[in-house]
Amino acid sequence: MVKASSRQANAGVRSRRQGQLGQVMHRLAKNKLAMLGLFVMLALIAVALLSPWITPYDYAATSKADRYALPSAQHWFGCDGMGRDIFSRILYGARASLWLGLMSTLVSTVIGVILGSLVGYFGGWVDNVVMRLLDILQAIPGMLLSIAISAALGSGIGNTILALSIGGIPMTVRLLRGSILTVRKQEYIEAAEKINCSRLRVITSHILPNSIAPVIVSVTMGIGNTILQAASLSYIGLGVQPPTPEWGAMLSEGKAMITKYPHLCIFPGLAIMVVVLALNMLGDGLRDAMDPKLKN
Amino acid sequence: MENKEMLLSVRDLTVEYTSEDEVVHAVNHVSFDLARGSTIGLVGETGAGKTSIARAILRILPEPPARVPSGEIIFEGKNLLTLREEEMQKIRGKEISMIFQDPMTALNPIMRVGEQIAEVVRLHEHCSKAEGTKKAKEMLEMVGIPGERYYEYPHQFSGGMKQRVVIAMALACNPTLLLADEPTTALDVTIQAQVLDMIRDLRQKLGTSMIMITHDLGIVAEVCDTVAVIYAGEVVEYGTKEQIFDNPLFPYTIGLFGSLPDLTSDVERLSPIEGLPPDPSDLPRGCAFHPRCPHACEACEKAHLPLADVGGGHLCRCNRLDAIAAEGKKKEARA
Amino acid sequence: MIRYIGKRLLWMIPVMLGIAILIFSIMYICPGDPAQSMLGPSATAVELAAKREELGLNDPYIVRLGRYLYQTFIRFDLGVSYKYGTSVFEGLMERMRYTLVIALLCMALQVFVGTPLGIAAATHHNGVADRICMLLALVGVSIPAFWLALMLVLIFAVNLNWLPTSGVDNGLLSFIMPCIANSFAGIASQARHTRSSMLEVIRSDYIVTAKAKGLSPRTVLLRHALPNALIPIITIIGNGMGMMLGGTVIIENVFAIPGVGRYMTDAISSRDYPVVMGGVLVLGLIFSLIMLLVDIVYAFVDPRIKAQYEGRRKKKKAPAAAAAGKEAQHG
Repeated sequence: MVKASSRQANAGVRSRRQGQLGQVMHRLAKNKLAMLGLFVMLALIAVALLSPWITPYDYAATSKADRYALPSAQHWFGCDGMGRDIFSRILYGARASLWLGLMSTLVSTVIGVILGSLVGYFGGWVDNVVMRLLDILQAIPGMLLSIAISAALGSGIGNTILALSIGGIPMTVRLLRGSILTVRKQEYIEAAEKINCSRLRVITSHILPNSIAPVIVSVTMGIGNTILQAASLSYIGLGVQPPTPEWGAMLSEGKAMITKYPHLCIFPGLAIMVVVLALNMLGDGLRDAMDPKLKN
Repeated sequence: MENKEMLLSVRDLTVEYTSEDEVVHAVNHVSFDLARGSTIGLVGETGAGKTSIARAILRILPEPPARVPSGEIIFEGKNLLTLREEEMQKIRGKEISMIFQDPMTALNPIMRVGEQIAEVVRLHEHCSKAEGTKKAKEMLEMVGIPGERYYEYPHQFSGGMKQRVVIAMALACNPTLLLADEPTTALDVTIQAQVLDMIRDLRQKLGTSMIMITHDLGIVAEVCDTVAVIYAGEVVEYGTKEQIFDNPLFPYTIGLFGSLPDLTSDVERLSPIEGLPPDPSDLPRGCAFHPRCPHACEACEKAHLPLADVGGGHLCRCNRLDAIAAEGKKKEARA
Repeated sequence: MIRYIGKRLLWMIPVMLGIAILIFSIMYICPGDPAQSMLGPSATAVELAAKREELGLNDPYIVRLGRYLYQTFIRFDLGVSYKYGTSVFEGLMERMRYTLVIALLCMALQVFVGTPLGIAAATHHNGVADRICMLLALVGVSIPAFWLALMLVLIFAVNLNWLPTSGVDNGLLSFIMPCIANSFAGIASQARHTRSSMLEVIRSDYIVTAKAKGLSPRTVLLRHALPNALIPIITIIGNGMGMMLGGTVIIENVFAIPGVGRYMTDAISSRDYPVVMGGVLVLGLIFSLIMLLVDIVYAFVDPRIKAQYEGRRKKKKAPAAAAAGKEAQHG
């Protein structure tokens, strides 16, 4: 009897999950802004992947004649102080920015989800120890922490990813923990425990699927935020450094000449804004799609 | 039945909710009358549109998505549906007030309960702050809560106590008409009786007319004079309490009585009404009840009958009355 | 309540210790040699070795950490800047006023511009005003602050010549662009949160109750909806302060403002560890105090949470809503 009812509960979770996913996608597809965001993101990812073949110039090729060239038909966004084509550098720079944003968010999400499900499920002293450690991490303003870690680890993409991801962990843990605490009390979790599901299985196939929604939304928004932070780091000379084409670093290089040649700074900044805007539109759409009652 | 002056006449009231791709027909051409000083019960399942009727009377439907495309609500000679919003504000809380279904969420969590009562007093009686406070304390005492709890917050009250606060709030300005929307559904059974008794006593003391919305026939038996049975947003049977209780005609009403435990007869099982209430965005053609009706025939699927008087103001919307009556007689004869 | 505040203040001691250990360890693995950057490239190996010995850089990690913690938490001394040879604490305090002025002005902008925008959007839900507000807010949270700063400089300082490009010599005028650039995202996010919180509250049952009382829409909004909607916003304001403090680090660099942020970024590049560690500790302390203040305000405006903090002195039970509320403030 117990077995039958919990199997039912199980099936309920499954079908509801799939049904939910379908509904979420259906609602998302109706949201024009979100679709625009998704489209821009996919286009940018394509550009980043294809950049070595589609850029009009080599991103590193210098040309004395084109130093500080203004935007023109040959060089759409002009050239920088070494005569490098800014348009090509921006296309190529999408690699670094997107990679930084996606990977840092991925790292912090994976760690955050593991920690979050542990503390949310076990509670007690595990919860206490982890949350107190996160209190410490969170007491340092995020940007400051990233700057310090980035300084310690040195520049380079890998180190910057690490520096950016640590600051994002506490929020993911908190979010998931809160969400799990609500789900935990539901009866289907009890049912799963009663039929001797292993703890790992209870967490991975019953608790997580039902409590991950807020995390998904925050992750989407988080990528945008991380890209902003990455650019800020490069801007003050940490993180990714020249000559790697990265938007923040390009801004940093261009700022000295901004009064004379504003195009050095305008376009990389616009590029950052477009990516982050697209991600935020997608994130907004996801949030509305997952929680339709918030919309009306 | 003595000829009393009608306090409220609802005529042909329709309420729709429009969402992205469907229209939900919550209330369909509902009409009923309420005499001054008496109580009408709106009986029906969850989702039958009872709450929408009450909210439409007070004009507190969420618009959009709700819409009232047709109907009249005549209250003391005025059509509430065409009043200006400012005039309506003078009626709400003063002449018509409402008790809500869920006392847990009906009170502002960060405002002292006394203030929430005093607020409505000050608004409508234009009295000083102190007088409002005094009146609010009196109201609390009247519903059986010590006056000094004026300064507490809703979270410090139990569900039953909160519902008393809501009732105190509703009765504070001595309204002519009280809309009670399932006032006891969210409460424990023992508390239900207390709250119900209190509503009845206060109503008698103040002479308030009332619309009692419920799915509980026991409550109807206790407090109502007239009954309107609501199914799928329309009145399917309408009459005095005696008419409905002694001689239920519409199959749905009969079903409602059949699903009640009866202490006087010795039945093995209750007989529930089979099936589920219809989807209000896709109502069946013909009689709305026919998919669940044990007596349905082909005609029921086609014809949507108007309410017909079957004698003494007892209205019913069924074309199988004769067949049902005959069957009933046969059963009686067999027994 | 007092007990709760006391407990929180006590808890800040281990948090500060944790921050000190964390930032010390981060600085410990930092590449580069402070002795080298102090003495310059012309220093001889002997000079460098002597300097390292003098600074205690040759001792093992645990000894240096112990020494740092003893100095910081027992003697309340943040040490001496390697670069300037002056007290780190005094150096920080001297620069703190600029940073605090910017952070507080930004907070004020966030609260007093962002909140009304959010309310306006929520009350005109799905109307033109709503759409414009929300589109602006969406752009607002997507603009890099330092780029916005550069663009503001380009427009208002270089082209229009209305405002000074950098520095702090022009009084309040000097702070206009830094504050706008630093708070733009904050304003936008405040507007977004206020709006969604308002929309959620407007759907509550008690708002229907308030309407049913005959209150005017304006009163329902101001007396019942807004106070409830603002409760979750308080947390956003606290987090915003953290963003502003972190953001000043970047903004001070753009506008050459001699605040704590610039002091610290300079210190990072010149391996001036005592300054970096002291700066992180002080900013962490300020941030922790602000978060405590936020929690107190939270309890003050929400009787459910207050009841929870006041414990079981009164025997009435606090409903689950209070627990949920507490959870939300961490989110």
